[in-house]
Amino acid sequence: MLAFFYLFAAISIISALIVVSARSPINSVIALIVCFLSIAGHYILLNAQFLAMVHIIVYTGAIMVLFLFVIMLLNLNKATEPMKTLGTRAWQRYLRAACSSSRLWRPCVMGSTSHRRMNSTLASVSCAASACPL
Amino acid sequence: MILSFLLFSIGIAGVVFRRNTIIILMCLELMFNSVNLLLTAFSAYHSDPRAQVFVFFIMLVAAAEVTVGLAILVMMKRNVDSVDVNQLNRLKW
Repeated sequence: MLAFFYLFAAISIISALIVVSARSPINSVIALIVCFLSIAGHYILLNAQFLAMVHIIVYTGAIMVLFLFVIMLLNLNKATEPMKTLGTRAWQRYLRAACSSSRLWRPCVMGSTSHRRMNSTLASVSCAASACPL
Repeated sequence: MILSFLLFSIGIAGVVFRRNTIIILMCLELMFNSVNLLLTAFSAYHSDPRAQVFVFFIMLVAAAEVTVGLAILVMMKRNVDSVDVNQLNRLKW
């Protein structure tokens, strides 16, 4: 029983990570079907057989077919969009603001044992932050 | 509960970090399923079958919501010619 629980949990979490990280939407849909089947297995383990059957029929029978239909209707099956990285402009602005506000922490860091290394890293970070204009 | 929380956090990460609208819809489905799993686990631990009726209605609402979301996605593809959510900034003030 517990072994089945851990098996289904591992399958669902790994396939959910594949859903988020897959480049192509088709691979994402296939991983989502695997995730839903493992969640149906969880329902059976929780003694909710009716919910498991309804879950399989509704999700992997209707919703996933709908997703695949829309993907193939709109020709979305090539990975076009790049991932949103940390290098976008808003994130750079937030990082710069955080680094420049770290100058305010410097008197608190002074009393620590490794204050020289911390101060040098903070100074370099704040110099880098002040070098690039907001 | 930990499994449900992990699935919910993966869904939130997908909504936040991806720009493809169809993957955002899939992550919404993931979050619905984690909440359903948590409700079913509670109903099993308290041996109270009323929560399963609740989960059933959540499933119906989620199916309707996905249908509306995919219709919006088809319209967005036809109007903006993209599935990038950053292109949908026309409603900004």
